[in-house]
Amino acid sequence: MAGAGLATAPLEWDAERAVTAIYSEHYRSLVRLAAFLVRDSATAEEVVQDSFVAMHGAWRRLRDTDKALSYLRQSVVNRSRSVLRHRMVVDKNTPKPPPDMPSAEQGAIIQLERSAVVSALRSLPDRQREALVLRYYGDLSEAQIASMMGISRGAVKSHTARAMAALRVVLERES
Amino acid sequence: MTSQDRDYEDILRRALHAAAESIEPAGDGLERIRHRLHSPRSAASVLSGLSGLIGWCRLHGIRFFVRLESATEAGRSGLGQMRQRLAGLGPLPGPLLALLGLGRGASSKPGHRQAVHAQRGADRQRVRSKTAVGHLGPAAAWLRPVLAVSAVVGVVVVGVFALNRAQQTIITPTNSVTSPGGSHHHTASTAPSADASPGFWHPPIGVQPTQQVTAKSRKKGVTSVLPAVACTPTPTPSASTASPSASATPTPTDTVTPTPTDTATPTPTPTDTTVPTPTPTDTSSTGTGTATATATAAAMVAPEAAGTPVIVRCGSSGVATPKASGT
Repeated sequence: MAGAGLATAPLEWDAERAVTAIYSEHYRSLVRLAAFLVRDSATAEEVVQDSFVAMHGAWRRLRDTDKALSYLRQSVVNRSRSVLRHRMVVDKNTPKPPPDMPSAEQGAIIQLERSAVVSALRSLPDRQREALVLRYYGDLSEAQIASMMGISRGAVKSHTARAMAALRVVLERES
Repeated sequence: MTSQDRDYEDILRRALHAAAESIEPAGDGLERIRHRLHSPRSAASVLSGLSGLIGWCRLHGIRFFVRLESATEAGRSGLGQMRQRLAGLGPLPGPLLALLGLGRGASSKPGHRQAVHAQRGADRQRVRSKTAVGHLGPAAAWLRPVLAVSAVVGVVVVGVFALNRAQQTIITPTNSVTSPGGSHHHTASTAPSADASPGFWHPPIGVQPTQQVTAKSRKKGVTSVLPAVACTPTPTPSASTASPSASATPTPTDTVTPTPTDTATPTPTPTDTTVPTPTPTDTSSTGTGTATATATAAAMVAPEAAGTPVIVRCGSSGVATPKASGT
């Protein structure tokens, strides 16, 4: 039993240290990425914290900071999709508030919609928005985006091109 | 990509970074993550883990069945080929034919045999083209998942049961502290008593048993005799004249042996019938040392059989036991 304790102790210590190290470097950017996807900073924090917990549990497989960061990003994207899916179901079944009474979520969204670009981004479909945010905010390559979104590189290109075209239309209309 | 597209890309990149700057996460994120890490798992997460395990077992169970079926098919086809080869060799001994199932085939006509083989080959092709689920019929579509899930549930139940048993085994307390036949018996085995018999509790060296009838037992009318043992750590100087054997064996005195007045009802019955029971006789006059020692020992068997604890009193304030002075 003592041998087992010695064998597992460094692993646990590594997971704790990895969480702390990656948190200090990437937590903020991950929260911002999630905020673009879920359009709510509080929910974005929840999503990122859940992803950190999942990464801690999967550290036995990862054992590498780069892999852990990639795992975190993918987990953030997947959990953001789940949040949007859940939100869609909830929005479908709950009565909408009056338009002159903004909800807390809308208040957080207003913070994000300071620029016209972000408001135009919000009008895009989820997959296109994901592709644009990962490409132009996360500065990821097409291959990384493809692996993160679970689609092919061609699909990434197509989503990005369509999103850019739609964004241009919206921005030109507004301007 | 045109320059206009690049301009749009730059605009988008700058706008996204500028908008992201306005988002500032709360400072207690790491504490919240650590709290989640060290908090016990909720029932929902346990259930989700269990459902994941069941799903995994179901998937691998189905894969196992499919592989088993394909292996069985391969074995059947190999056996069929072997039959064909053996049938081509000529007549075989009866037991070997029976073993290989060639009895009917060997006795039938060659044309009929070829027709049977052709039919079997067509059947095999049909079976191979089907999936493993379709081979067992429509019932297999739900039978296999049910079997897999029931197997997993059975394993979990057996595991939980075994865990509970193991916990109970570990937690069960031992109550051998006050048992007369426990540790005391072990120390008494070294006593140089001539009347020592197995199964009896003997006082250790330097310990003199006394017999007391408690007040509660008198009130209730119960004749439970609690042997009280007084510890004398060192022999007193007054007993210096006594021989070692005389001091080791308890000598009869008026206060030690049960007198007829104290025990109106019969004294505790020993379990071992070979040992003489202490009779209510007047032992103060002519009782020998061995006889009374046996009687005392027999009296001390009763609490062991009844399961009553032994009161061991140590120190000078214990029960005053008269010392054997060799008289």
